[in-house]
Amino acid sequence: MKRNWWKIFCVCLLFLTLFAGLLVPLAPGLITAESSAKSTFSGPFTVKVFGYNTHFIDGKNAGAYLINNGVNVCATSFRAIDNTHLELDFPPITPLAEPVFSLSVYNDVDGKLIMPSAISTTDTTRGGIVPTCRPDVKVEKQDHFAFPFRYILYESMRNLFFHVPMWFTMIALLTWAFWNNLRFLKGFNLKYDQIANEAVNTSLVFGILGLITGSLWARVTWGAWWVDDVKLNGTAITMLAYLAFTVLRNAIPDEQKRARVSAVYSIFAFVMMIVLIGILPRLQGTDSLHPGNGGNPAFSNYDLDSTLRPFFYASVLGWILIGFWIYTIRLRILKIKTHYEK
Amino acid sequence: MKSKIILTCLVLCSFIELQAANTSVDEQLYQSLHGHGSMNVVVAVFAIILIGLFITLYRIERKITRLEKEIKN
Amino acid sequence: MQLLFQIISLVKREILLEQRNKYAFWGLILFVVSTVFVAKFSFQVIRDIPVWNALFWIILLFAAVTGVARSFAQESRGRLLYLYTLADPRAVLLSKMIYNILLMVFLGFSGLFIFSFLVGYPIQNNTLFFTSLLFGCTGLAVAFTMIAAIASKASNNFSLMAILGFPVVLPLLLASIKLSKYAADGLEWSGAFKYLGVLIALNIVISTLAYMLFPYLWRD
Repeated sequence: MKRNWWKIFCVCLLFLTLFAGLLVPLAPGLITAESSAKSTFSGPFTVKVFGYNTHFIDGKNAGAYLINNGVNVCATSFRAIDNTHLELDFPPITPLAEPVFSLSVYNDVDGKLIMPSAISTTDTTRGGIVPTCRPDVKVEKQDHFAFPFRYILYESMRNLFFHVPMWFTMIALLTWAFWNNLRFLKGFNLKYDQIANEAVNTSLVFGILGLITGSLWARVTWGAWWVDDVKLNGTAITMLAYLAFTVLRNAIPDEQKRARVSAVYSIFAFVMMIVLIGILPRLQGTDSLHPGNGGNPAFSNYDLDSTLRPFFYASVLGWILIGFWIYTIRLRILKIKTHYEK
Repeated sequence: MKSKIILTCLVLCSFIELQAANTSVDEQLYQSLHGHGSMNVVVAVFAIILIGLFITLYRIERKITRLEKEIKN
Repeated sequence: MQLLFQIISLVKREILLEQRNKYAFWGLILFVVSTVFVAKFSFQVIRDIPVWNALFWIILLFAAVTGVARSFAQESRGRLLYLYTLADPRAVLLSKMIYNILLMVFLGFSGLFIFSFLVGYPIQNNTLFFTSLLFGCTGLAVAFTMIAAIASKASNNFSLMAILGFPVVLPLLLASIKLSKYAADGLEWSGAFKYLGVLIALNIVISTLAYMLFPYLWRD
């Protein structure tokens, strides 16, 4: 029991991840807004709004307005068809600066929802008379606990708890392998070689899982199974390097020699991984779709807000622990095997 | 064993392909959100991870069986 | 200081060896020329910059694999062991590295000459391209020397060398291809600095790692 407390901890964390990750609802948000006319100036126009998890009917004190250059234009009529469909009428207006309007819909249940650049107009005239109004927003933010609403991602944002920790687990196991490679080279004790080998083997499982799940997620959000992204290419190369590591191990029959040569190569591969995953994607100006790359702040407030953060850390820790659990089992089998072979 | 895994993956992929191949963008969005939604991706991802863990378990078990046989002989 | 003298004499030895059996060197040149001719026959003149870039670096990559793979394979085990007792093993590695750098830089620039003579030269910023070529070739030589040392411990076959080498070399190639693209587009240095930095840093990292790890590698 004393030795296994961390396994219980791991199971608890993964259960927390599973329940929170799948059961916490997504915050309401606006998905599409479609204007009936291409020009907003030629006459009154209707905007059809499609929301997600919204309460257009149930929410009291509801209203909507368009925003252009800081000036608000309120809807003249607010017709909720159901909780997620809405029709809004607006008077003819011209934009002050750019020909795009942001849309804001509010009610007491959902709070204020904003969709940036919701409607564009073909008008070339600027700065005409813009009818303004003061929207009467009573509740700024919805009060129940929910994950943030992100355009395009929607519910798939929950993959943050399942796809991303795969990479963390892989990197944790590879770091452990790297450390043991160093320890092996210090005293040529084969024990450390076994540890490093099993850690790499286990990390490959998580790496492959990360690649498959990532490509699935990419298909849904980015539209392709494989996109040209620094981080993707970097991880693919890392996987290649560690697969080469296993090939190398099979090519050398002598135990001591195999351990030495593979330790050297593994250290090489680890340093390359640091460069590929840690440094190259963070260079300013490299294009990446992943958060935290190409000059994007890593897991900033936008990417990982306070509702996601604790569960994310819990899930990362949980998956890393399960990775180490698998690794210890494999290591024990190897130890028994070598014991009997002697 | 392997063919089964590949089959499962293919079924999963085709399922998602079908979801994305709808005609109108709005309808597609509606379907993907309110039908099973991009929630489907989460389920698929979780299923893949489970399959991966099962395969690892299976491989570990096979190792142990081999070891048991070796010890018996 | 002693290390330096050892390295110098070992590099001289490498050059002497190369002069003794010239066929390997001329084989390399022939390899480059024939691949360039294949490109010439299929494309005539390449105006598309990415294609030009990709072809050029692929030719260099394979030239590096074939050229550098010999460095440990051509020596018999006994002779290597004799060398290690005569000189510091690190000196042996460094001398091979330096020789391979010279070889790769020569191959890179002569390859560029033949390539641009036959299929066109779309580069606008020459200094930037030459710098990237210099460091790219150095990196290829350094990385493949180390990989050759590793592969020589494992039955020494060519395919293993390729499998082990490509993952290590790919970041280098990515950076140098990006740099060549900058040079081809005639962009200023400011945008290219970070890739140049990555390239030089990779060179330094790989060679220091090789220097530090080789003592664990050479013993049989």
